[in-house]
Amino acid sequence: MPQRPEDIVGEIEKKHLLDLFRKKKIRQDGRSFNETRPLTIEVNCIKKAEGSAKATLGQSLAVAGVKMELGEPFPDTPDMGVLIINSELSPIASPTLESGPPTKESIEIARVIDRGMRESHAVALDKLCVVPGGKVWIVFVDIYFIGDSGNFFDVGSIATMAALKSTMMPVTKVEKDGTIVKTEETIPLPLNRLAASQTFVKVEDIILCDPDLMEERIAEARFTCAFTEEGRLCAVQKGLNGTFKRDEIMEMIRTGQQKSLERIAHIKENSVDTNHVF
Amino acid sequence: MKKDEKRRLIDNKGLRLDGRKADELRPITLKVGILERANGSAYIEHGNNKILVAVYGPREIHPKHLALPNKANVRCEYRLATFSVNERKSPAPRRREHELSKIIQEALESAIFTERYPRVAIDIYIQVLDADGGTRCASVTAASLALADAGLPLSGMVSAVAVGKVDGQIVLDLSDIEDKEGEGDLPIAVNNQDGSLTLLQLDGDFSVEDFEKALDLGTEACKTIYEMQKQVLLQKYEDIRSSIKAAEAEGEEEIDEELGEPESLRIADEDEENGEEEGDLEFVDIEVDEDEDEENGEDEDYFSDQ
Repeated sequence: MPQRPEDIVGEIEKKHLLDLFRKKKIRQDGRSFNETRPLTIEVNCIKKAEGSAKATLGQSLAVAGVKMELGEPFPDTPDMGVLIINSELSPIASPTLESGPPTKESIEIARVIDRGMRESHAVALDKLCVVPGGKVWIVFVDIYFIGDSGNFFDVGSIATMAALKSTMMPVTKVEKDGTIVKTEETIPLPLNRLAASQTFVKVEDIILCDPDLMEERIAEARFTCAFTEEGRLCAVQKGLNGTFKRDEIMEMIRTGQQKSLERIAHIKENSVDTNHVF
Repeated sequence: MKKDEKRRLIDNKGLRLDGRKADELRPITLKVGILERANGSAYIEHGNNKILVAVYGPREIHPKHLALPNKANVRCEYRLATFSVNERKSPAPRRREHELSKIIQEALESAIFTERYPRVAIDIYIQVLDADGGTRCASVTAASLALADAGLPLSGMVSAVAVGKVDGQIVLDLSDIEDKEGEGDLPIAVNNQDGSLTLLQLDGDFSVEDFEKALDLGTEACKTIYEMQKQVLLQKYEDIRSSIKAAEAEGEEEIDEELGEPESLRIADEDEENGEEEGDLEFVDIEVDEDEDEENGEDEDYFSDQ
């Protein structure tokens, strides 16, 4: 999505990267094609949020926060809670981003992350009904991308999942007159399972897992797949102008499944509690 | 609300809800240079406020008609994260955020030598991630550091703090509750070079004597914050110096270990390096202004530099 001159990659840089890929079978930062960058997850860094997480994938950084509000259910699901995922590509992250209403890119990222969470039924929305047809919990997840080094899809979905997992929601009490009171007591947000995604890009005929910024800029096609902790595929998004062959897709799905399971394990076992964002 | 219904914010020993004395600041942590792609950046934790600031520039201005012929256009955006407050805020900026953006920009611009950079933009982006009262002041303190981190020449460091009136007493550095339930709020920012005030707002009920006392208390506290700002900048350059020394001690080995570059590209790469010494080749045909500006980044590598 080149918007400014800084975003355009010189032919010489592209040639350099492709030479590196073809001759050395290695990427600029020393990774092999199927290798992801180091992942860190810290939770509870935002005190005003009901749940929060900071995830880093290499130098890419996302902070996700969860706010819970009582509100109206959708008419077709009167006894289900509501999950709303929104993302903000902050100009803090990169000189090429500008503030303003959400761009198509930002909305695509939020929707792909949303689809992974929704279709995996990660959040037990059926347990978030307070008064059927009347009041349900609305779970807002807002993702702020504050470090741009490529692959917002994955760093955002990991931050979202970890933030949801860290969420403590208030217990409600329905009084005799029908008013709903939030008590001081809190319980963990009910989750059915965890989910995670894995993104690839294609440059000529080379497929790279977890692309960094340069790789994203020279990419012709992008592919994101999300899996549940049971290893079931729950969301896919193909992006950009390029195309994939059938066998390429199957290979990405297989690699993606394995990597997503690794990420889910990481969220479960290696989320560190913190009071600080930096 | 009746007086006796109100929660007491200062106890008999003169201590506030969080245990502070009337003239005590909350804990402050400052960090600089935390963001990879900004020209300058800073992070502040002031009490439970967590605020991130990125500075870009001087850089080409978009849209072009905003260019000022005689000075840089300093643009500032202060934004609250949706989850930084008790009730979720809608992502679109509200009137309060627009006003604070303007006030903060004005508080900082007086310290920047904008006349040295005609026709370009200096952009300051402030993201409040966690809010706990006094975000505008913490934002000014952090933004001033981010401007210094970007290498911009400043007439002085700007430091800010809110003073207020709680239970009839003048207290320093209002917390969220004191701000909401107290009788008055007086945020100030001071340019430490000459002690001049660059931001001053007030709401509430103050006598002239109270106001004078509050102003003096705040100005004094800004000096303390200024010392912290200086320390964190000095530390940054100490760290750079020690990492250079460490690199020198390790000798040439590291250079050999650099990722293998393909033979065919060797010559091209040398050209790039030569180009970089005289000022980035890529910028030459983009905008003449860019060339005149100082390059602020510290030896970032070629690829991450854009």
